[in-house]
Amino acid sequence: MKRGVLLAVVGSALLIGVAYASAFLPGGTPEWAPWLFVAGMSVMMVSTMALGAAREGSIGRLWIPFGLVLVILMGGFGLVLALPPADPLDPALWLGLPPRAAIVLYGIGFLPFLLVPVAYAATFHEQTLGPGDLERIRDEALAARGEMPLSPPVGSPDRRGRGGERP
Amino acid sequence: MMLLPAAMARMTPQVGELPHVVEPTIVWVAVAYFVVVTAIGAWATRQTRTAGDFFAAGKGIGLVALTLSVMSATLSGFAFIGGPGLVYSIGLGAMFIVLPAALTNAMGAWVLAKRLRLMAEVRRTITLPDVIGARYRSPLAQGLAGVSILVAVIGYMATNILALGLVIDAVFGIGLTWGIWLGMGITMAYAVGGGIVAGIYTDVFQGSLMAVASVLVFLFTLKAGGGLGGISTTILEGDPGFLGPWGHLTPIAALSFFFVFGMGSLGQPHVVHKFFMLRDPLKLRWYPLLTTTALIVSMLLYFGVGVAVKSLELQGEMAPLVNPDDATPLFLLGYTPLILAALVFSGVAAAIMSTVNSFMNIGAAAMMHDVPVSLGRRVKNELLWGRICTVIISVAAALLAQHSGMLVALLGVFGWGLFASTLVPAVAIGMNWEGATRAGAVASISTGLAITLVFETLAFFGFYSFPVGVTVSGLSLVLSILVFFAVSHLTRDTAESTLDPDIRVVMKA
Repeated sequence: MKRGVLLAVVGSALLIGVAYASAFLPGGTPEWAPWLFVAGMSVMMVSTMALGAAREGSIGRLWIPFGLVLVILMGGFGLVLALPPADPLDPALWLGLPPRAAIVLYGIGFLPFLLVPVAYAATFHEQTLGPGDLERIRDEALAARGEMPLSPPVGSPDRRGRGGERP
Repeated sequence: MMLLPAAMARMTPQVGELPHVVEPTIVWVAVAYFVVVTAIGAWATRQTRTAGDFFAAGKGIGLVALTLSVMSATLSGFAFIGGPGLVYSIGLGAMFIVLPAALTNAMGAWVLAKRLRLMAEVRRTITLPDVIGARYRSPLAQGLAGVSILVAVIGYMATNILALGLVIDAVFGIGLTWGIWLGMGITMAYAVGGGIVAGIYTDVFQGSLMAVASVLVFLFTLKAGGGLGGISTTILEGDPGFLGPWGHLTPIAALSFFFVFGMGSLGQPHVVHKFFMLRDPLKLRWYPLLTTTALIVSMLLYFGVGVAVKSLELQGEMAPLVNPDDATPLFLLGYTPLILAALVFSGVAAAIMSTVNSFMNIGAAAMMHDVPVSLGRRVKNELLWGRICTVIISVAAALLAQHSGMLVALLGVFGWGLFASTLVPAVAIGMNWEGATRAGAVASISTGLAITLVFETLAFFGFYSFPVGVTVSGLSLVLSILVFFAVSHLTRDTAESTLDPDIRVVMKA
């Protein structure tokens, strides 16, 4: 899975790079460039999150919120690019904003807030850090370095006064 | 369509004079605010005994402190003065700077928070370049990252100190020079004594102030403009493009904002540095939810004032602004109670001071710790030298703010983009990909540094600018990512040897 995610990051960076490069063409930025940028940027942000969230090569249940965020970003920006401008004489307002502005602010700007931080909290123990993980990882790391654990557990008063020094 | 470089230049903090608002209520609220900040600084100084306390709060802060300090360090005065002015100028396009906030905190938590906190546990790292040095077993990469941070920090600090001087002058009417030195002196006093501990706990106070002020001002913007529907209807009649999805920007320019401020958030050392400090890493669970909530709440003013002032202008109730940065001060003085205006002016000073404090701390760490380590030297008394370096950097930034004129604006442009392009690949991707190599990290940091410095300077002096919509920060970020992958791939045989076994454990955690 990680290899696929890394390829997605590289591919999305290339898409953004091509979108930028197209602006240097004679005649200015072509119409397809924003579409390319949207695809690259959306995939890069979601795949970077997946890269960070992957544990033992898996993102577990997180594929659901990550998939939804991808749909929100690509779908939201896609709608904004595709929809016609609001009619100033007879504006339809969605929650007080013209439709395309509402998609930008409420859809792209706010909707992920209801998904992503909640998904992080909901999967934290299984996907990020569980009780006891910190001590286990610290001890494994020290063992990997060929040393006995040096530090008392986090929160111990003994820890103060030793910061800033590398072993 | 507005050219993006002009918009980007406006993202630096306030550099034009603000209207003077010398009123007894505003002055006394500001005095009370400075007294509280000084008291927190004095308390924090007593808590700071080691370099670990000074630079990483002794890994002893709680979740609420982390949340509010990240929010305060992220926002700076731009969120209260420059940001609303930018919304007023270019419309909805300015929102693309803050739009990724719903994603960035969770992204930072997944990509960096756990691993940086574990690095602090395993290697006792206290700076981001420390992490780079340990990850790639490379003093060169650590030194380059330290230099990048130092360059960006001094620029950021100079522009923020200038902004602070302007705000203090506007409130107290004491002149810009005294404003710069008074603001810098107060911030330096608590930063030198209490280091990041003082910074964190003043941020808690300042962040709370900013959030409350933002919500209250937003309610007044709705009242003044006849609700969001009323504001939209007025603006659509007078300036339909303003509320178009990209405002007065091109689509690529607005999307560039989203990209640079979204992905670039992973490379902001004054923010991610705070991950080293959390006492109980299990509390990270609620960090994205709390921080994102705090940021969204604090951004209500950014949007509300910008659109409300535009609407009031189109209704003929306010004259068009000569200086868009006047949007917040003029709205506050004309449409909110004086006590709320006083709170916001203190909030602006608070936002700038908390950002300056964070920069003082990471700049001092780069100067005292990262650059010497990269040269094979180590300072003996890191606490003392940390304090001395804080003074040196602060005085240098204040002198720059006072005397260098255009150079301050140029240095301010570097900030965010330089951090993003030099640190995102090596840290954010490198800490999650075992195939990354030392050569890849060095090449990507060098690419980000060179492209940003060269092309921002050429654009600033008018020698060469990228086409409309292409930002130096966006292009340098994407190129440094591609260089990172390409060079790591070409040198993939060395990946194994640049990764210590304990770092591998942290990365697999």
